[in-house]
Amino acid sequence: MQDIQHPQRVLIVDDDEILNGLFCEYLGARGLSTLCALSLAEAKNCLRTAVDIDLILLDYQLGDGCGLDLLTDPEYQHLFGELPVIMISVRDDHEFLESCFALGAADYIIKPVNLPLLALKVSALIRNRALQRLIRQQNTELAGFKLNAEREEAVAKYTYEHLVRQNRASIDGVSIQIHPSTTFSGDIALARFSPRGDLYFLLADATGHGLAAAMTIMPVVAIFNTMVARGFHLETIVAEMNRKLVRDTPVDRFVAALVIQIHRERHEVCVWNGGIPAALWIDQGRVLHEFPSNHMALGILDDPVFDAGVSRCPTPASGEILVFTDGLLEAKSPVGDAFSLARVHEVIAQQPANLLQQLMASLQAHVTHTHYEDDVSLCLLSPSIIAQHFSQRIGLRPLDAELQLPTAAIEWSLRLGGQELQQLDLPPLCMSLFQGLRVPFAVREYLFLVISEVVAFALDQGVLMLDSNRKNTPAGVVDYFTDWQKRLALLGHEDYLQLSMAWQPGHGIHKPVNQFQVTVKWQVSAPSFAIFNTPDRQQLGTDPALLLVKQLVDELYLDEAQSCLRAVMYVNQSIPL
Amino acid sequence: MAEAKAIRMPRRFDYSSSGDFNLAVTNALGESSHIVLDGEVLDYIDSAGIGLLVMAQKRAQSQQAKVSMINLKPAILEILQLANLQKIIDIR
Repeated sequence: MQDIQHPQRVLIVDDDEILNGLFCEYLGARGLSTLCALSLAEAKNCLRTAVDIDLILLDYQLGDGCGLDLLTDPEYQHLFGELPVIMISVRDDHEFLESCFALGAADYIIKPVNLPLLALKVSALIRNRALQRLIRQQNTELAGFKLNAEREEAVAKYTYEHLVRQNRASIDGVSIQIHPSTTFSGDIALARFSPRGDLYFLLADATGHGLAAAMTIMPVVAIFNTMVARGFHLETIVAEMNRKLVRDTPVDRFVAALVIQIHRERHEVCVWNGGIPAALWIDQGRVLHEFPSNHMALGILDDPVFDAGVSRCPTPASGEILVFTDGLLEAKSPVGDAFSLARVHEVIAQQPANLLQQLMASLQAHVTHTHYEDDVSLCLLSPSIIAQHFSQRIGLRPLDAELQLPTAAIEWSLRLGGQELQQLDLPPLCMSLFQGLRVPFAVREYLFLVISEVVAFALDQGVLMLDSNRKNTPAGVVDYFTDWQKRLALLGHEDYLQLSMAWQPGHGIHKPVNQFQVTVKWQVSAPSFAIFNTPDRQQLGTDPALLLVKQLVDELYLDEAQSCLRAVMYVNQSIPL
Repeated sequence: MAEAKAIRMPRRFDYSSSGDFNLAVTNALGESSHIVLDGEVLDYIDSAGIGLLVMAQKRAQSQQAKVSMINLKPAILEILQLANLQKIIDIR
């Protein structure tokens, strides 16, 4: 009950002075403050001038008019919605009583007045009025809270939609369906290519909903986009996302995530799954492989104990990878039965033409309505179609476009040896350099691809002396990369790789064309040579890994004796002196 | 410190449980270095609820205490295992 800050005050309107005084005295003895009016005119004056009247005791028959006239007076009528009035009269006929109530009286008491009854009625009505005041106040506060909540949700919705718009570029072979449980979904699904042509996919499900979820999703998406664009490997990206969340978000906030990297060249799928239901590799109605949740969600474990290790398997020659959030599995029927993984398998076994559509149809039939308790997100990745998309992209030559290019010569060189070759990824370093030089994005992507291929060739075929022909079969791919890891671990400090880049702008008549060169030299120490060299090893010049590089550049020189590979690209745009 | 302190989890464990749960954890940490969360009646937990468990574990860890969970229903156990909560909380 709200405390009333002022004494409860009753205005007593009765032209009988003795009776008026009696009411005042009786109610005053019970802790009420009273105000007396002996006529209609006095009553009106009190209403105009007095403050904090909590109830009116109104006699029907007054010397200068009828008590009901006060209730119908336009000047005061508006008060009686909140200000209770108890009519006093000798009349008790139904018609009269009905008219009193119809005109706004809250209660009625018959003369001769039973004073205890009067006191009870007065207390009850005053208490009721206080309650109504409290309710109105709370309603006003609630309306304010609701408005703020709606504003926050609008901000969160805008943020999410902005993130989705920024990452809307569709990729053939990647299908995404997001079905929100409220105004918008707390799940987000993205796919993009790295400059090397690997496809990266992220499905993220943040704790909570609305703005709280948006705040944790945003840094994850930003890091994903930035690091994929620079060609970082999956483990590095996942570790950085976790680090950011641990450092910058509340302890009870985290992001369940599934991140996939489909390696174009290695024909390998790498998956990191923390808190998302197992991704399924399906083919012809069967689940061939699962990528279960092996890790805690992002944002829980500190750096030293966080595990960024990925699960790997060869890229399927056929089939697809199906991923979904727990909202699908936990959606309940009217009798409380969860949709569950068993039903997902049933739909997969049917081999529908559109798997995602069929899963949603099955879900809707199960829950019998379109409202879901949690966000439902479904995605399907088709590696074979994705590979075709990349093949189309390498035909592009952004170097011939109208560009803002550096006007002075630039040279850059880095030598790495031994175990540092394992720890440091060279191509992303180059991307940072290009970004600092404000090389246009499309050109950066292209140069990154060339550098990646050249460095990969120098390392794999030059330093580690691996034969690319071994990757012609799925078993061979597995053997190749098993050996790759073993040999990398054996490198000594005399085994090294040196990457050099040179930009030479063209000037004048004799050298009109701009030139970009990437040169990589390598050295294999005698002990490593003895381990790595095999009798059936092909000549470097015939290695298939060179073929892609040849497609990308204008000139390619391999000096096997000098252990050196140089790639040259010409930019057909002369820069004025 | 005293023997393990049990906290009975509610039927529905989500963000609305945070006030009571956090207070119970605070009190338990003041009495014992081992908190046992009894999930006998627990039949619903969402990501916010998992967040509360993570927070409780981190608070316990900061005070050299540990958290265990017992009597969990299969459906709840499945959800906690999907989140790999067993990596930081002893789930029996």
